[in-house]
Amino acid sequence: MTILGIDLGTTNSACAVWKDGKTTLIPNQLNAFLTPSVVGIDQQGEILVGMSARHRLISHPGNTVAVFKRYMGTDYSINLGKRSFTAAELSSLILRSLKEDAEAYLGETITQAVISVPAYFNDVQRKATKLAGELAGLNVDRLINEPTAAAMVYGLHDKRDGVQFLILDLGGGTFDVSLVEYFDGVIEVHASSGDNHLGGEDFLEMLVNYYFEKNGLAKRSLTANELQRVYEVLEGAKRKLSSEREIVIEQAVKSQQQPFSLSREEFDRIVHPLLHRVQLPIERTLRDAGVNPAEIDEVVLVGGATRMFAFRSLITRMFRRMPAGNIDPDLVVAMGAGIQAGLKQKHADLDDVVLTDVCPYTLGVEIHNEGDKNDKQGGLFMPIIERNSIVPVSVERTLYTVCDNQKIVSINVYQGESRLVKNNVNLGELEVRIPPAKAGEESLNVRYSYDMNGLLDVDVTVNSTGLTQHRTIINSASGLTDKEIEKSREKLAKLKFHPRDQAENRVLIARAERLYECSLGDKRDYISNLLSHFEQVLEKQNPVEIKKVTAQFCEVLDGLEEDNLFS
Amino acid sequence: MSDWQILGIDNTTDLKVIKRAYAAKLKITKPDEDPEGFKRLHAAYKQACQSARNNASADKQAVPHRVEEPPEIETQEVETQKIDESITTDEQPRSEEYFEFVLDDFEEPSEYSRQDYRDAQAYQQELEDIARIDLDAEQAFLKQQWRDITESVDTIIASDNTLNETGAWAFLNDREALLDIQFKSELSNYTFGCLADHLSKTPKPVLNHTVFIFLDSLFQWSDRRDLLEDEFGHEAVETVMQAIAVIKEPFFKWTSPEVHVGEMVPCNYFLRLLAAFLDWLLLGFIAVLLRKMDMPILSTDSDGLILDFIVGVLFYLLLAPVMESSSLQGTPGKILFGMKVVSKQGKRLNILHTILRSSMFMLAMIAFKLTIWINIFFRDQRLLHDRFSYSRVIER
Repeated sequence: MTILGIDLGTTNSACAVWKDGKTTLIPNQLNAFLTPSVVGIDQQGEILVGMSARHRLISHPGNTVAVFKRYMGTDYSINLGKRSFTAAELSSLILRSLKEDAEAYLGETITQAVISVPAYFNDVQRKATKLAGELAGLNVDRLINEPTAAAMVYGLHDKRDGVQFLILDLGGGTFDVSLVEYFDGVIEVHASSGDNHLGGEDFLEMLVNYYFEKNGLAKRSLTANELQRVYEVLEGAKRKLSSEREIVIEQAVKSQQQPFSLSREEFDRIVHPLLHRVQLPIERTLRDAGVNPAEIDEVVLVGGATRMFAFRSLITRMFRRMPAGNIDPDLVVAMGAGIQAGLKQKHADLDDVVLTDVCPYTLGVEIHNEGDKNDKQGGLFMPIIERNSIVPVSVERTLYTVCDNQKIVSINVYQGESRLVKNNVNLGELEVRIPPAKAGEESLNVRYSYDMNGLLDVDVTVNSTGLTQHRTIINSASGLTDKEIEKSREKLAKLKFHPRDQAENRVLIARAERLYECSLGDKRDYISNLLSHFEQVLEKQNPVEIKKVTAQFCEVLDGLEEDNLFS
Repeated sequence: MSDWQILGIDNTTDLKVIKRAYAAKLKITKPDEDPEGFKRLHAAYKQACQSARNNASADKQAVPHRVEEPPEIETQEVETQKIDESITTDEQPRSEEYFEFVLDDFEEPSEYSRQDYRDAQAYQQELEDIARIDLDAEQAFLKQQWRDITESVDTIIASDNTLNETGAWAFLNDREALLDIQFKSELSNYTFGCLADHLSKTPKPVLNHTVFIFLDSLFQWSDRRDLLEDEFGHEAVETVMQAIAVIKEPFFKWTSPEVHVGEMVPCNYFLRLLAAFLDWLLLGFIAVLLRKMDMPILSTDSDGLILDFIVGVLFYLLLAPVMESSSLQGTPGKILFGMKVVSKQGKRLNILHTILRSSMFMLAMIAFKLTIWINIFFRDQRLLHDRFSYSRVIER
């Protein structure tokens, strides 16, 4: 039984398995390791996933969605054409596509998976990720933290003994920091921290806003297609800035009056607030672990957004050394998930490897705030599990009643670092009935257990009666009942999917349509002719001819793409 | 069972021995198979490490905190036989194994996502330059910065006025040396020490809430209060925390710093109209006074129109630019309504710039019946004459 290791990313996803004593990445039907985390729906109501959907972002923005990992664990509904989905449902479509790729590649059915999540994902978001796996028909054996997954790859790769890594994982939407030590086959995470809303997409958003301001344009004056095009061009610009000192965008949309030039220094200035937010979790991790920058052997960059020059130069300045990024930062997490899958399967060649992880945030309970006379502060936060405790961990605390003849105690579970609960994240609530007595006489034992998957269990025992209530934390936002889960399963089952064997051609058509959208005049006619020719050939269903035309078509599009990106 | 017994070794100060023992035991008590055993083992391991460190530090001096030399950047060895393979395109989709995943050996599998990063090595050199800055010069730079910054911190803290002024601290924001983690954490301690020292000496200590918020967001003091308490003692930390108070800003301030601190909030259109009316009221008052003075030049001017005109032009061409480029940064109407004139970057304008601004204002006034309506529709609250003179009016 093979377990699939999956990196479910904000912008791109990938998967790997443990095979023949190493982690093996699995290519998708387009022979690429990365599958864009984009879902689209076409005119026939068929679902498209990955590259073809990615291209359609420009040509059909209303029928395509991306960056939905941001909404994981909320009941925010995302519209796709006429239907609406939750982030977990959309993610399950991506997972399903990865699963099919793996099945085609390995030639066996896959029912079990290890999925990576950002270390700083909270309980609710983790549950949603697990649910997404289940909706895709995968039994999620383990949720592994992304920086930890990367650490495993680097740890096993490095082979030196007693190495301390600082893993910086800046993905599309999240930023994670982990301090990891590797010795004698033990991969031990010492401390972890992060920012759940900081990633490449935020840098892009800043840049787009700056572009609009500089050109005196208003966002809402553009059509959805044009807006998408601006994003596309600026994303390209952001990437180009990694290798060039200055870039010029002649005209991204018609309403742009003058060429827009952007230098590295300018970009640094624009994203300065974000770079400040990058520093905070790093400093916190080092402080929590009590480690000097000099004691770290290797600063490792993971995640596509770490390719940004602004980011790299900041890290270089902070640590006064070159960060390591010699393993492809886009794929390293998937490789790590593959190793974890191998561990799960108890492969003999991983017998010597043990992984220990920490809980990156403090978990606690709301308690009565006596000093709060006018109800301004709200309840106080009492930590039960301190951040960076090694998992699995289970801690028990005793709480006492505050009122005479109190009948009910409500246990509000929170996550965060603030003294006041209102600044922390609510994870759920639990109500316990108690026998009436004088204030302070009745007591409850509250036990928090945090497991290797990063999921929290709460046990409450009333001391006088000995009754125990047990509950895995369920938040109102993602607290789907079995019925609701069944409902979304049915909803997904009704969807039609594109036949897999045509995937490559679909991508080409989607890409040509995108280029058509971005071009003007003669070029448009040219692309349009090419497209209809290509579609004609496809209809004839002559494999030899299709292969020939496909190659030609691809070449022409490559040429057009080069011309187009900055014109 | 003692910690050492759990680990299966004798009491030692050698961290390596402890780690090896822990690793060996860990392989038979894996966290997901035997959670209870693992918890015990890990607690014993932590305890053993701690006591080993304590004993060791008693023996010898602590390790020097800074790297003596920037670590060598390893050049990646390319496995040559792999390259030949990648040139011949094979039919089967080829999957890469991570052991071969070095940068130089990397075959591009996806055409889209990484095409723009192909020459990522191009900036490798630049980064190496940053990393390999001559260490002596670097140390000298940090030392010099340390002297410079701590001196400023001392002077700021010495006086209660500057201590509680947000603008005084703003210079910390753009100091390059603060990027260095070590430098920053040392500066954090230094600043907190000075602050605690100063506040404990003053009879009625007051620390501006906004100043504290600024320093806290920079140094994250409230995040690790326990560390501060270890360093300075509970008393000192408590003194600082108790001193924090919200200092009410005065309703309007006459003067304004050279560069605006904080977010630039554009002023409301209607407030600006009111401010302009207030200026005109003032001008009208002056004109009436002048008329009362009965000057011979004005004998022909029976309606006082010429006089009004002269006063208006003089005000807007001379007085207003002078006021706006001074530390007042505004005409009386603007100051009263809590506005100021700044450049697009939030800096104070020079006199030529304000003359340009005033001229633009007068031009706009010629057709004021029209411009007054046009101006309503600017969402960013930058009116016509602001736009043409590259300036903006923001809250003080």
